[in-house]
Amino acid sequence: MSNLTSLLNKFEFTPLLKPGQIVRVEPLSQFGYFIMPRSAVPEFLPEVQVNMATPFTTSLSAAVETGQQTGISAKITALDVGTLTLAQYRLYALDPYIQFEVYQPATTARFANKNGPIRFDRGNTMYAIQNQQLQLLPEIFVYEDKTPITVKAYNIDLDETKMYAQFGAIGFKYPLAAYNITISPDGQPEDPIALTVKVAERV
Amino acid sequence: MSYLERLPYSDVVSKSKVITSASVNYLITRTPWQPGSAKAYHLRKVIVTTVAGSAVTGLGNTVTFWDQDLSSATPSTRGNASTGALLTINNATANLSGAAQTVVLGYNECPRIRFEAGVTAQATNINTAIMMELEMY
Repeated sequence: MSNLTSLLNKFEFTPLLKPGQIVRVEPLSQFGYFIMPRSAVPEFLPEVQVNMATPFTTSLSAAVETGQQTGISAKITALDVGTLTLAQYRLYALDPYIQFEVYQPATTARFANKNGPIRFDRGNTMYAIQNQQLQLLPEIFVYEDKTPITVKAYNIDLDETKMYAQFGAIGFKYPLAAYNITISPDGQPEDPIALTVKVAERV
Repeated sequence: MSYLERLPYSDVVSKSKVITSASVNYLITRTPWQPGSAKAYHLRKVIVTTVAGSAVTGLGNTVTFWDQDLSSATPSTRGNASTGALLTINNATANLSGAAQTVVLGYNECPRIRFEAGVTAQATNINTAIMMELEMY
């Protein structure tokens, strides 16, 4: 009974993992299988706001005509969670003219196609929130403080620099316990896997 | 009009400028036309306020808008101040003694004119403040 069912990006934003269920965290060689103990509960994480600029100290320079922007890049530790905890976040932009790229770890774009990283901004993420299409928000998973994301922010305004480049994150955290899974002779897990999530290489 | 009422995945931004010289081109904003962004603007709201002053001449104040990025010759220009204005607002009787005059065009009144290079304006009288709410997509 081996099921690797994806429940990601559901229409409703509800916890993906229930007490007693097993989660497989990829890459498997670095993380493995975990179970949410029967005694634990998933917990909602209220909005965390992160400003990539520092108001009146460090600004995002105005865009240039060539489109070759430098932007601001930073490792985001504000989304880290405690030991043996997995966090699930959905991201959205709060300030106009700012586009964000997400990397996890530092150099691997989390949302990308063959053409390269895909950015999100206030236009596309706020539109999704206001129309209750939460499944259209970029979703990331963070394991403990081992897989922080790196965010790059770009100002597309040709007119002026920006002191605010904020994005928000809402989510859930799942307390976990390590789980010794039984592997069948054909190499498949014998226990049902409720969820498989990908974080990234440990940093 | 509600912030919700806009094209899917567009954003709403605002820009403003005070015109301090009559009949001179003023760049209100540059559209983010650069590669990688390639956005365009639509008007959602335009507010024109003229404050009477000693340097103001005449009773009327005609404000014209057209599609031009005054900071760059790369994007194509559509319109000009005299014969090719894409939008003209007449802030009439702006300069009666001690008076200020405001004209507001809301979402329902604004023509759906596309600004691909930038928004440039000219006013026939000084002391004219222009504020715009724009849909960027």
